Amino acid sequence: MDKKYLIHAMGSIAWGYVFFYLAINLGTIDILPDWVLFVLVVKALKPLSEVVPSAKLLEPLGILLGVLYGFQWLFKVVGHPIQWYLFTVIVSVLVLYFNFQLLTNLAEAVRLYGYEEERKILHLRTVQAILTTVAAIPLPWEEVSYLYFGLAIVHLIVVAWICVVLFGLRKKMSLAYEAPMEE
Amino acid sequence: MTDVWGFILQTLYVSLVGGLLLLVKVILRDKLTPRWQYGVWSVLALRILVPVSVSWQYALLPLPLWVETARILAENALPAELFVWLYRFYLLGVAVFLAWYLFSYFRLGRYLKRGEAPSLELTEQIKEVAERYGLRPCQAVVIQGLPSPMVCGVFRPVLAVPEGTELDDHVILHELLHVKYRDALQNVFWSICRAVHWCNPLVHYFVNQIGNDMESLCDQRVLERLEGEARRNYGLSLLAMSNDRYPRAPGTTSISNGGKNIARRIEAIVRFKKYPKGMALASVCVTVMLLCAALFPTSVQGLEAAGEGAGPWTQAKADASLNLVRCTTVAGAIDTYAKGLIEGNGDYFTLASPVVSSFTRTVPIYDYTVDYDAMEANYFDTGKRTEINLSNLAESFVIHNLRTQSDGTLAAEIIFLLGEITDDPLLMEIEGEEYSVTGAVQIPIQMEEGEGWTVKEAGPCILYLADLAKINATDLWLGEDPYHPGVRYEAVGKSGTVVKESLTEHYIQTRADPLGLFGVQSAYSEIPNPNAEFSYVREASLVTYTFSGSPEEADEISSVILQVSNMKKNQFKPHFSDHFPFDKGSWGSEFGNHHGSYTSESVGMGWDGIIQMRDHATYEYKDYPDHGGAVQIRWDGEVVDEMILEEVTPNG
Repeated sequence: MDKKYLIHAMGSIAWGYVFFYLAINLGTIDILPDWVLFVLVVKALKPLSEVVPSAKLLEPLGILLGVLYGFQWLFKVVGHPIQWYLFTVIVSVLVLYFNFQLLTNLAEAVRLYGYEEERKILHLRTVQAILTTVAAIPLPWEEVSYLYFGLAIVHLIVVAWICVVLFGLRKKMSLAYEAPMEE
Repeated sequence: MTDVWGFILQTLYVSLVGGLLLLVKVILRDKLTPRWQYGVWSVLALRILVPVSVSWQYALLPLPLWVETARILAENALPAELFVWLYRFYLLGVAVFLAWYLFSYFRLGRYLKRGEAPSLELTEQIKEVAERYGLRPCQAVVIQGLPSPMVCGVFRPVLAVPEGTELDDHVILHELLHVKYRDALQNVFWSICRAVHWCNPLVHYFVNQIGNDMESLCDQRVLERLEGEARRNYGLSLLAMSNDRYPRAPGTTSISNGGKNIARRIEAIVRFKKYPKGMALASVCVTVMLLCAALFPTSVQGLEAAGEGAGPWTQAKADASLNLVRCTTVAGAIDTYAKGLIEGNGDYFTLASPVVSSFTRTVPIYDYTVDYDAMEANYFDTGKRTEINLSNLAESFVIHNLRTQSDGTLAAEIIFLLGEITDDPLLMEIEGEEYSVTGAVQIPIQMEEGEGWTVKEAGPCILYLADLAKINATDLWLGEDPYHPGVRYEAVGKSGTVVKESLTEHYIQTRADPLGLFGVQSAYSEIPNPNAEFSYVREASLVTYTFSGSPEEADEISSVILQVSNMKKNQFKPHFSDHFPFDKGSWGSEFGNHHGSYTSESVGMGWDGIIQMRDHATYEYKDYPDHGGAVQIRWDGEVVDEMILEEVTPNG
């Protein structure tokens, strides 16, 4: 498997996270739609699963989540956002698992290529999963809004860090890939 | 579950949660381990154990509303006794199921007692397998005609073996693991759940799936203890048992659970190596999220509308919502009470104000005029009274002077703004025939929190007449001066006294109708929102500083700056500005809120010692400064006094 596809996959996943966690709204249109993450990840899974076969398990889930988020985005554009709690619960649970496994598989790929960022990715994955779960607990957040705000800030920092690590890895792997070719 | 409707609600919730779990399990089937696939059923167990009550709060779906609607429709169409008998029939079914389980358990026990003692080889084999894998051995018995090996018994488990069968070590390991993890006891629990929900076919399906998942988990445990070829051989052992006959009874577990299930288990054995590492945390997180969603009510029921000509289901739903709903917020209670009056809807009105009042009131008439040029408002009791029907006249409402009283209750004045009055000769006579007549009705109210918030009328209802030609009805109460201030604050300092009179108007968030690309638009809705929130607060205040020195001292001062700083009740220190670029102004914090205001006046010879400042501001409700504030006085640029305003008595 040509490593350049894996490098490209790393970058796609990082960009996917940018789309998922950032929102820029023009009226009711989010110009960084969430469903882009799943399109990019599903494309990236082919090269990733050549290195880590269990990553292939994510593909059907990625497609399903892409479709669900696509519908959600569409409904919001026409002014009728989906406000069905049951739908939100199912999607949140699936996204939590999806992110967790994706980062686990990425970490394994990184380890197989001998980079030291594996532990960093695993720790960030763990923190992100815990924060997502804590935020889902039905506490009276409005009474401790400073705590909720703090959790949100920490979550953003974690996600930003993940993107920084993935972009950094992509650059490192690109340089390593180009150097032997130049030789 | 004290009646059939309580049971129906409970079993529907169990079905909903079970369905949710099945859906998530199907999607994550080959992604999370058999340990999670079985363990996640604990969410269902908790849902079964924690009773659901008919309430205005609900989890996932508004099942309480649907059940209450069905109850209203059914009890209107059928005799009430029928439902009592239905409930008795349900209880009888539970008793029958439990009795059958007990009977099966004891019959199995007798059957085992008639079995033969195992051979020495079998006993040694069981002991050897137990020792090899660090498990406790258990007693065995050989039964003629038993289709497959099984463990029976909760307190003293026994391994029942078919006669004439040579048992594989892996099969013994499988059964010993059932004993170690007390799967027979768990089986008893699930059987009781099945009995309690005997008339719900979905629960029977769930319990069957739970049994299959329990076996798959036991396979997982076996595989974790085996290596290489042994795992394949275990699959072959299972394959040999893929007959359709398998014993099933409470307090038992059997390695065989049917051909189709065994095929699925063999697939899982093949996939065993492929589970991603580190999934334990993901499993726990997913389970916690599902548990929170399944158990904790996160939504509150709103009021349902039924217009004229509504069908029986819609009308019943509206009635059901009235039975369930509570006003969960102060704004919700006021909204419900006021709209009940305006719309003439006794149900809404009673929901928020259980002390019954009438829509028709006999009220004293106050004449009220505002002269904007002179900045004066005049109102006086005309001595006359009239009867009005608020549901015919009131068009909208505002909330004035919402404040917390010393006993912890909340008080306010609710002002109903009336439309044009054209058919009351007395009112038209007072105002004069050549003028159009409108007015406002003021009702002092008190709010208390019990099971929900309720509103009580706390004083006389007064009608203020106004002249439409001079006053815009909606601006009647909030102009440059707080003509009807609700709260008075005072402060006494070294240089003088400050009095602040303040009138506030709280606005309730109305329903929003999105306009697609161009933002949202608020719209008044006749249907109250018992869970409404306040969106913003407008305040008008008049601050008066009175210098306490002598006229000679006053003559020596050439300029006075009166500055008021807003404060919240939990704030200790006021914040004053040092910049006064204009004669009057206000400043905001870094978040752009109205933080305070000032007036700077040149005084000098003949100054009467009084400085007045009018201010009005609009705040987001969460930012509203609920304290009187603090005042700073500067003479000729130098700070001479700083005082904290304290509430005196609310004005009527």
